Amino acid sequence: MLEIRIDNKHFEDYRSEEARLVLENIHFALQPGEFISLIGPSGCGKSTLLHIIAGLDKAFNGSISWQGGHDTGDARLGYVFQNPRLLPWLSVRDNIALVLDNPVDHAHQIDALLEATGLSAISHFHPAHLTIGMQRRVALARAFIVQPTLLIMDEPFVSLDAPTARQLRHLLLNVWDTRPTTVIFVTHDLREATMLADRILFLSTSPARVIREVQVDISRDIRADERIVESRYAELKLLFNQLYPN
Amino acid sequence: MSSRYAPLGLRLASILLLVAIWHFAAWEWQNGMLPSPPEVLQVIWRETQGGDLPYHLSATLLRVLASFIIAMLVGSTIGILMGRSEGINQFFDPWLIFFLNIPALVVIILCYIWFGLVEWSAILAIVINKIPNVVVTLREGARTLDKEYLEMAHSFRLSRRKILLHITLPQLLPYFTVAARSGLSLIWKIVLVVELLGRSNGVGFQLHLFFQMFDVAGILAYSLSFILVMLILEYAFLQPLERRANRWRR
Repeated sequence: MLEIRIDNKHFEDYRSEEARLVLENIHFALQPGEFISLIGPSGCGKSTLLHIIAGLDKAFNGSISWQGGHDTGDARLGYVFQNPRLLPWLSVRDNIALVLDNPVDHAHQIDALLEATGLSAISHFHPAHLTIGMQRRVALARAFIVQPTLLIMDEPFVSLDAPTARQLRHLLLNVWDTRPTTVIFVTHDLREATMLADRILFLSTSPARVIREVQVDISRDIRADERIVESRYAELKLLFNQLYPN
Repeated sequence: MSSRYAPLGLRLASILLLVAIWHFAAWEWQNGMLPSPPEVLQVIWRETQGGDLPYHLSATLLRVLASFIIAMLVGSTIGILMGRSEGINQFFDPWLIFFLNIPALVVIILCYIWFGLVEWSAILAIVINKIPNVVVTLREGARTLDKEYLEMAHSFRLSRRKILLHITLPQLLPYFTVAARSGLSLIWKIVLVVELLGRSNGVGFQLHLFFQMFDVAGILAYSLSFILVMLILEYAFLQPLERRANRWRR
């Protein structure tokens, strides 16, 4: 469905006037409905990679090709950022409605999604009055409401307390179950990737390259079973320790 | 509750004290140069009955509003452009410094000489005086626009209209309010000078007449009445607008 070929991506370094290489030879393809996870050390260029895939950054060598005549400009995209990036002057509901072209016609969908994400009771609140966990639910709902062809998630559950993060992962699986879409999920948490993803791509330190690709091989109906996830995680952890010795 | 109403009491007390000092000074210094509050009130009443005060007040108010609206629109547009583009900013910055520093009086005199003693040259003079302040404030606002919101907007492919209405303008609103409030008080002072120098109505024109007759009661009556009008604008429109714009804040 989507083929990503990034030969290289440089950033200008204003102090040394030399271009710094941030991404190199990142080639992978996504199947429709697939959930892939990108894991890599902090600062390795994951956010840059996501920006390129989302079409926010066009200064790179390579191509992002969508099957079926899409280009990045017209594919429907959902984006969940690390920081929720909700507009503080809009209510929860208006934040979600904002990204729709025709919110009035989609009022039912908004209601259904608010219900599914447990936000119905607080839909008229402004983001500043919500906990960070709740704000992230809103960001999740905003991304799903556009029925995205591709959903990009950039460490959406980072720096939450463990129970909240766990709750949100299950919520994501539930919502995704009823509203299936293709997902690229960036995280540095291997357990999280094991639970959510079909496939994990491991990235190197900067400049980022794909150093290993692994199928998780847990069928979707048993992902909520933490013992199964835990035993697969233990296996992947060994690989992880080899890939990132420090 | 008490914290909301206590300052109101305090404010009333402070105003009463000011009036009391004035009254006492007028009573001490009885040579006609400082009329007492009741005397000034009498003039206000007389001028209102005769229709002069409402006529001149409304002439001034119309000039204030017209120049305020034009200056805010033009100044915000230039300010936002300068804040968003470093090139435009570099180019127009010397102009901005020039217009910020040119005395109000010079602009007024030149406008009257070049364009004649007509209404639109009066408005133009006021607008030119005010625009630089709006530009400076809105430029600052446009510089602080959050890039993260814009990235969010672009990744969701939001239209330009939506970005302007729901992302850019709400972030600029606090700067807009600051420019509006400081603008209104600056503008009305300039309007009086404009009227004094070249119009045949308005509070400034009346002050000029009273000055020639050394009529302090008339001067105070007209100034206080107009200050009252500005206070009403501030409390009835600007402050509620600001509260409404900020109600999402914690």
